[in-house]
Amino acid sequence: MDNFTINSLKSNQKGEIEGFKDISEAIHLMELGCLPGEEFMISLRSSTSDPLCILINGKNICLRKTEAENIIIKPLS
Amino acid sequence: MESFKIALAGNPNTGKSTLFNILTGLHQKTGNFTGVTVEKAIGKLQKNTRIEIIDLPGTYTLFPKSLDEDVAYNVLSNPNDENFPDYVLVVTEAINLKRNLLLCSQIIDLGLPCALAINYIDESKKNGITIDSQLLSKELGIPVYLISARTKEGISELIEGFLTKNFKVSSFIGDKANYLEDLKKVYDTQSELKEIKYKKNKEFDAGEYQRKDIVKRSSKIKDITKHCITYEERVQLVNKQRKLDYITTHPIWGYAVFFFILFIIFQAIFNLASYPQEAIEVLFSKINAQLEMLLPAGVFVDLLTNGIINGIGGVMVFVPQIALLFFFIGLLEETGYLARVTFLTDKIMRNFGLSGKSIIPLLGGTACAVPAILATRNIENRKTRLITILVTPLMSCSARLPIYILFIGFLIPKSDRVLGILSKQGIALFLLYLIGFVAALLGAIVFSRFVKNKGRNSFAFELPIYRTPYIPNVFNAMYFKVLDFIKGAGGIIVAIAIILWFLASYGNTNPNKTFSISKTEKIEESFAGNFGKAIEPAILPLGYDWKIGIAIISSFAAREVFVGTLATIYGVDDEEVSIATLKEKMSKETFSNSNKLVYTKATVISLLVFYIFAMMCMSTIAVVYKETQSVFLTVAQFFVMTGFAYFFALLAYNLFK
Repeated sequence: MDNFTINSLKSNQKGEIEGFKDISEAIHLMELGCLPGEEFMISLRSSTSDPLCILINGKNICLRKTEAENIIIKPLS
Repeated sequence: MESFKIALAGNPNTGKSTLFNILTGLHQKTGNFTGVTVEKAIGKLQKNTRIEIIDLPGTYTLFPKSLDEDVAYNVLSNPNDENFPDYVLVVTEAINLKRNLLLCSQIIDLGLPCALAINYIDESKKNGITIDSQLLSKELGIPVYLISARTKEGISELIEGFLTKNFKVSSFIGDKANYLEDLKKVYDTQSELKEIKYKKNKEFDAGEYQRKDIVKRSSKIKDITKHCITYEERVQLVNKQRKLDYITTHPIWGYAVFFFILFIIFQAIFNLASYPQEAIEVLFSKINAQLEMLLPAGVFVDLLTNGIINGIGGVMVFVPQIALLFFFIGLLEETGYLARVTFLTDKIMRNFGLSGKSIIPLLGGTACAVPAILATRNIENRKTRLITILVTPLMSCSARLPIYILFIGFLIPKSDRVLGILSKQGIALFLLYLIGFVAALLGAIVFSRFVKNKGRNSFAFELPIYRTPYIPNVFNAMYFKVLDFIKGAGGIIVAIAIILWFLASYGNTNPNKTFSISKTEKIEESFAGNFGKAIEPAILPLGYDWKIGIAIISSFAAREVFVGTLATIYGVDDEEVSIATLKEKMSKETFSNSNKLVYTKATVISLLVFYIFAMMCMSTIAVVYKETQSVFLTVAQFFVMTGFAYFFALLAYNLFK
């Protein structure tokens, strides 16, 4: 099965975090509230999508591309 | 009555500092936590001397990943720590309370008596969030306060709770003794901060433990908050601000806004600071004049006036610029705009081994490197922070301006214009600043090879919502940073000023004679003069004679001293110091052993290039050492910059000769 990452989402499309590709790099993301089961959407994209910003639980979290690509997501409606 | 300590702990951006400032007023002192340069703020609860409040650095969990978080962990986990609190107030905010409660639940399980304050309650009401604080208090087993530090809502109840020691020991998951032990194991196997190498511990997977801990806690927190918080379907503040963010982080508009703001700030720093700076200079020269009049002339009076008081004056003259720069940075930080600049510039800066978080110190460096280096504390990644500190002095600061102006005036007549409007002098000045910026970026590439990466690599950070700045916070930060500068770097500056005074006042001539001869002769025969002659062979290839050598040596104190020393050497009296007379004398100056003119085009360009790169500022060196705590890096920076300066000056001299 193909893993979806944040970059496959369109603007205003919601996604849900399923897990992480490299779990050892995930602790800081989890601390910031990026936990499996949480819904989010992309709120800001720089021209190269690196960094980008996701809105999760009412908070904007900025991520570099390497960090964003570590998150496995499920696209929602 | 007994005295006790309360620690404020919480996530970043929860308004912890605002609460701290309101609780303690100006009854606070700042310092560093033992062994690290993380700022520590301790204050007394209003005027109550029994209750001490410690503002811990913001942290997301008790698993430290940065210098700041390390401090929070160490204070809370070690009963022998001098700052170990009797009680902990966990400060959170209602938006994403779930995430905020993660740290709270960990602190509860440390077995410390705690209470919870949910800040920005006014904002969350506007967002349609209702919190059942009684139910939450029952679920967590600790008192819960709904407060707004800015509007002072709920503050009197909170203070009442402090006075009655309304803190409770509770348990979230697991029991106290085990949790503390587990945290210690995680810390010992993981900490990259205390120079402990990763200890391989086969029975204990620290990463796994942390993830499990977070997941376990988060799922219980989710259950609790389900009952205690209700969200009304309403457009949230953060969504209303999306349009603003679209502009401020836009690849074109974002930079336009950014440069506009910078333009305003630097105009303000250059224009506003010059008045108090002049006033300070006048004040100190008046003090000196008075002392010289009142006291009998002699060595000690000369040391007092020309050594010590001039040294102190040299420190104080930086204060207006430092204060203004910190005021503006504080303002931008309080509004949340700095986080947008970080987002905007990160990609470009990364190519040079820097990060989006480096841009503010670099720009601050065009005013003065000293406050700019202090501003690097916002950078979490140690390597990025060190590189930023190392390259910031390459940005052309305001002390280089007098030198630039003098020599540009030498090269280009004032009336020269491009296209009839743009002054050629102005373009030359802009070019010099640009060379400095490019040098900083290239320097970053060089230094990134020297600096080892310790500490976390992750960049992810929270973009706080825009808020109207809380002005007392801005002034508070400004006040304590200026104080820090005067206390820290000030001592070293004064010490070196005294040494320079000695070198310029004494020499191998009859000491009784030194007070009767002219200033020009005096400096020639002084130790400084000897040094100038001694280094002449080294600087001759750059086109400088020994007189310029003296000026270069004395400008080690601060670059702007260069012009003043030249004026002394060429016998321009204090009263009639004007750039025009100095220029005239300089244009006639010849080498002492030949009739060749000293200030040729090549020499002047070579001097300009030298001052772009040379690390000629003892205050900066002092601050670099204070912030890096590394003799090696401080020395390396000095030699790399001086090496660059020498090499490029040599190159420039030979190109234009």
